[in-house]
Amino acid sequence: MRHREGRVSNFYPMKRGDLLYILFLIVFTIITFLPWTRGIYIFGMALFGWLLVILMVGSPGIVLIRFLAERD
Amino acid sequence: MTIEHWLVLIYLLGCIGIGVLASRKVLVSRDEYWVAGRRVGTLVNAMAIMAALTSGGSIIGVMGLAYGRGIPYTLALFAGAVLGFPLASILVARALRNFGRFTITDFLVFRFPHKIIRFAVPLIIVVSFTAYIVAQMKAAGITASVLLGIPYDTAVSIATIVFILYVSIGGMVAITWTDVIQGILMLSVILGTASVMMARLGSPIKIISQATICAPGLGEVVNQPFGSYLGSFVIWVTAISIIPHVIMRVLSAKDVKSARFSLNLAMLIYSAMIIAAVLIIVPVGKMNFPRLEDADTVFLMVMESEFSPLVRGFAVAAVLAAVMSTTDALLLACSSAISHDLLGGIIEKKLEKKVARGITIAVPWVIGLLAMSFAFSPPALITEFYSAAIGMLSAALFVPTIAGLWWKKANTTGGIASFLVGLGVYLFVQFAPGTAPLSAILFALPASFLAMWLFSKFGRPNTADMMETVFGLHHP
Repeated sequence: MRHREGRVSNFYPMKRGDLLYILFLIVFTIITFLPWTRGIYIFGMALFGWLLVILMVGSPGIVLIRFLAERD
Repeated sequence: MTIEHWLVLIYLLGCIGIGVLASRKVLVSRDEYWVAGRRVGTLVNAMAIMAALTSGGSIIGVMGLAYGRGIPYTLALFAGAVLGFPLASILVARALRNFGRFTITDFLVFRFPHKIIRFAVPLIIVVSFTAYIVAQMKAAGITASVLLGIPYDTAVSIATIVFILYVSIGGMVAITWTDVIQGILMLSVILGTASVMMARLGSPIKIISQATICAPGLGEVVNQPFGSYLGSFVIWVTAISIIPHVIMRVLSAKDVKSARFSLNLAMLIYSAMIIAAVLIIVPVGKMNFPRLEDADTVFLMVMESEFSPLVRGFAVAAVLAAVMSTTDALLLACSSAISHDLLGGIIEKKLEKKVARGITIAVPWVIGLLAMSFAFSPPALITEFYSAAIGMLSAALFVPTIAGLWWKKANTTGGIASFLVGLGVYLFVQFAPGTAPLSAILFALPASFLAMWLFSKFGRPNTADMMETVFGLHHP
């Protein structure tokens, strides 16, 4: 992977889709851990907890969907 | 003997039987013993991975933690583990499966060839995994004592002897077979219990709303310092990519695609189980038993109060299954750290096959019995205890592994420095007075990254062969 003409990256190449997925997870996690999620309550539990539930189901789910789509 | 006792006895004898059957295949081949011949199918591996991660901490401990420290704190810890798997499938699964050896130490010694890595990495693994095993034994002990009336020490001893037996003689093949059965059992009991609670009391939303009226702390984020929430999440997100018993599952898969698919399918199943446990079973436990002395007994109390002896028998078997499905993997990984990583050179080259096989069988006994002796005085809140132990592993190994796989400039000097600095900072902060529980990782990982970057500027650059080999792991 070259950033500019003649310059070679210091990192081994990663698939673009994988990189975007990791970035998405980092951003979602940061949003989850921001202070504002702690004070909002839905059905008695802080929004922080509900966002974590979404993360738990969504993170492996997205990879599996991508995997099956690639296979097809 | 009651129905519960019979069910548990049948289950334990079944595990030993599987170990005996597997031993005929595994005791003649290192590949079969450590990684089941690298031909475990995708669905089988997914169930085995799920079972290996679902420990006594995931069944007993997750509910104890949610009961004692609130659901959001518990989800932070377990969400970290779940997230760690997709990340591991991207960051390490392909390369390590292509690397084709047996352990994470094999890779680190290859990438950063130095005596410090060769000897210190397996030692750290043995220490942290022994702590992990101790926590699991507590889960087995309290389950048997609450639901079967067996004294705690006796229950710990029996469970320990059984799993040491089938691990020592059956290796990864026995573990895989028992893990699949154990996974089905755990899933059935947890999802079954949650379904019955929902049928009796209504939807999860209704249950959790009612429980948080009686016990508002259950849904709040204020019970622990926020560093603990973030720290517990970060420990497990990073640990999965380097934790030896998961890595060995990756190495057992029949190919890279199978390894990646298994990791993620396992986590979807695992998530369903954890969510069912903390959002349905724990709120019911909190409403019915608001002042438990030992929070880790909440699941057992719910089972005892709501179900017949036959179902309770399955519950005991499920908890023992959870404990054993993880502990067997931990024990095998621990044994490989000693027999393969530390002593491998001597065992393979200088000892007769019979003696070498004897040592391979004896090592799990030594580790298991040592852990059992500690388990007679168990820690409080097992999940927090073993998370701290795994945090030490993550602090020491995450940066060297990831940088070793992805950063071309990571050299041996950087690898050693990041290992030692990560470990040192973690231990210093962990034992410093006033530190929030599980927050030491938040200091250790940045320090480890910094050490890798800084010290890689010194020392010899990597050889062209090394660079090409690592490139080949990503693109064979």
